[in-house]
Amino acid sequence: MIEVRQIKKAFNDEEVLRDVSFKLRENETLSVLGASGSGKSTLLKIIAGLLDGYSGTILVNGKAIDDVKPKNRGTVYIYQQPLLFPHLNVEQNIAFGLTIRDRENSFIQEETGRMIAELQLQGQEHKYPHQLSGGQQQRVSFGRAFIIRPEMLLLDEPFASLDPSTRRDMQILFKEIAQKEGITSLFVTHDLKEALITGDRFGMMSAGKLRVFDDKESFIKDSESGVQEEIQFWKEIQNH
Amino acid sequence: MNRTMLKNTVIRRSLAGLFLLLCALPVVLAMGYAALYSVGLTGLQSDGFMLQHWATLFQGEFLSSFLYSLWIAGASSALALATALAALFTLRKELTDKRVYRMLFLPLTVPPVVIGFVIYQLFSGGGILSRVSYQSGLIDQISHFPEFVHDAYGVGIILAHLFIGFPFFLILLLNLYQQNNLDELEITAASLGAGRKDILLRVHLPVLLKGIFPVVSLYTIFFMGAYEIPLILGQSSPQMFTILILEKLQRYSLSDIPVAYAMALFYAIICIGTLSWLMMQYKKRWN
Amino acid sequence: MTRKISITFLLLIFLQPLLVLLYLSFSTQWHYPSLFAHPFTTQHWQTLLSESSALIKSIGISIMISTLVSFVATGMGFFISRGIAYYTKSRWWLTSAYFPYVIAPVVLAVMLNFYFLKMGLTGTFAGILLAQLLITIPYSVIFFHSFWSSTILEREYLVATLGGNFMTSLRHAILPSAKGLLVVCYFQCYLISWFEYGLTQYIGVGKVETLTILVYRYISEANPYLAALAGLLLLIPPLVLLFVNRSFFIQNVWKS
Repeated sequence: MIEVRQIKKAFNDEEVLRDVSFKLRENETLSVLGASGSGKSTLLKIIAGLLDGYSGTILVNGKAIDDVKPKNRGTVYIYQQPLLFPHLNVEQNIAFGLTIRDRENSFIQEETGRMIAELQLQGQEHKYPHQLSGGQQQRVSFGRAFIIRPEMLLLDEPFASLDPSTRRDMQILFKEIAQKEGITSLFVTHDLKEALITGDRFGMMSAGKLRVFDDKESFIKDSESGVQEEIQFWKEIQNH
Repeated sequence: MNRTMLKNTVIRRSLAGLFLLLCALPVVLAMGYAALYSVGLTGLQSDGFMLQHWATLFQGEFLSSFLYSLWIAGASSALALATALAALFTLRKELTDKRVYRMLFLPLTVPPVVIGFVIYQLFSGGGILSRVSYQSGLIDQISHFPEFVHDAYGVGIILAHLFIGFPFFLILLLNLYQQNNLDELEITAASLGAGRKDILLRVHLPVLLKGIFPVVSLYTIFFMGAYEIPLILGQSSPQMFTILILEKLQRYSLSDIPVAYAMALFYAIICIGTLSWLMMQYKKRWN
Repeated sequence: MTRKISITFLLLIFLQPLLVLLYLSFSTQWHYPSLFAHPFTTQHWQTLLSESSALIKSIGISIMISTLVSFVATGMGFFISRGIAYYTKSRWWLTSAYFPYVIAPVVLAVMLNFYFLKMGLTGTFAGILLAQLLITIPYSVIFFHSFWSSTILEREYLVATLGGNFMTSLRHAILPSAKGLLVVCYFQCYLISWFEYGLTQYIGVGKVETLTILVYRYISEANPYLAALAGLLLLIPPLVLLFVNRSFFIQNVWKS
């Protein structure tokens, strides 16, 4: 269980995060919807340990991790850009986290093979990042993160640069694998549909404040989430 | 690229012809003449086809010269690369400051003949460093100053090449670092659990070395074919390849001339061969 | 603090040629083990200003050669590279342009000398020009190759469909984008020519005394003072160019 308590952060006297608090249960995905500049990326970076100078605390299974270095937090940050290692092929990129932990070769091969199959990357194992499409690269990026079973995955609009149909495929794939692998994640996006597809619980970020909804129904019914507006829009289209 | 619109065959052929005339033909003519002379089919002492001069190339002073040139070239490139990498990892933040970055270009303004001259004036027995050593009591005779020029290991030549290679490689490494988002890759690797040693050995170095490899290879060839610097700083035997070629051509022994041409052709083949191999390895970058 | 010291140390290393040359150009009777005890003089600089100075003559020759070579190489390379980019498919055309550039100029000169002798160009100004063009034109072709992209081609098509001819295309579609690059190439070829020693010395047989050849002559005559002065003069154009725009120094032919 991951708990974030009253995180406040300001950049040059401008408050970017105001008393942000939430709890994230194991194996669940909290999708946070918010526009650009709402503070979503700042929150992710603070949880990852990439930003300091904030007040509040972050707890993993009851232990505060505010002074723990990024590499020891067990959180993996996934950017919009896949940031694959250009000198390693698909297999090597996915296996990276296990290789540096000196796991046995047989274990690495088995896990990598399994992950490649789950990510539908069979046949691409020996290709290098520049030989892959955007969607394939992002899948490798996921595989690289999933394989080490992080405490928490922090996703910062990971599909924003993909075309609509690839994006949709990736959202569904992410949901399937996250559930299968039992990954806890915080998924940040400005796309309503993406939030609904990927999340188990939902949040809305606006002007540095976070509201969390305990279930899909309350999120859908809320007037500010945008779901009602969307439903109304399609109804009007249909009636005309 | 659609070429159907620019169909003028006359212009097309003229430009291609001009290219061949000015770029390719001189090399063909040069290597052709050298080849003919080196096998005895032309020249002042041409006695008909023979491979004897080529055999001489891999013996005695010619072989020593070739190995010496390889040593100088390899040591120069390796040292320049090592020092550039060390500077990159220890001083990267300072080096990205515009004024400091611009300073890296200063050595590129100095021609090789001047570098050779300056190194000589600094490091020779009667040079500035020897005088400083004498004045500060480190030595009490000029002969006690170590040999850095005209020496067996080519220290002076290597130092001169270092002066050229270090800043150039460092500039390229800084650009490669930025182009490959190494800062962000470092964060990604750290979040996957990599420590500093892993990041250096598994992320930074492989990416940078792969990127800089073509340039280092080419510079190794350039160092091997250096002329002005070894002319001023080199020893009398063995000499650098290019110095030996010119010496053999300009001295009185006519029998050395075909060997000199064989040497020149041999060097040209190495350069072209290495370049072509590099081009084939990195063909994707050309698209 | 250590970093600041390291950067300062690097700067000193990079400046040492300039400092050494200045020191020597104002020195005389520089006998061992004197560092500052020997006389300092402006006599060598005064030689520079005298009419019969070999230095002035060499400067003039070097400027003329470098100006002509870079002008011709830039112009010809620009159009030849257009031909290669637009009309050829094989990568080997561009690869072969590297060959004259990658073989040491002095080795190329050695192998071509026979032809220069036959054409009566050895020891002549024209011979030096031609020899230097043989290395700068290919350089220029490589330099401009990536300029001729599909964007430029599409602009040329546009001009053609609007009724323009090649000159119109040149004026409105090509030169506006190429201006900056033409200047950079000009100065890079200028520096290749300005620094050139081995090929110039071999083909010129010492009769065409450029500034680099003069530096070497003074070195062999054991006249470090004039060698230093000539060396300083050699540094002036590159330092000015560096001050104006450092892009004149990055050889973008190696960009990857």
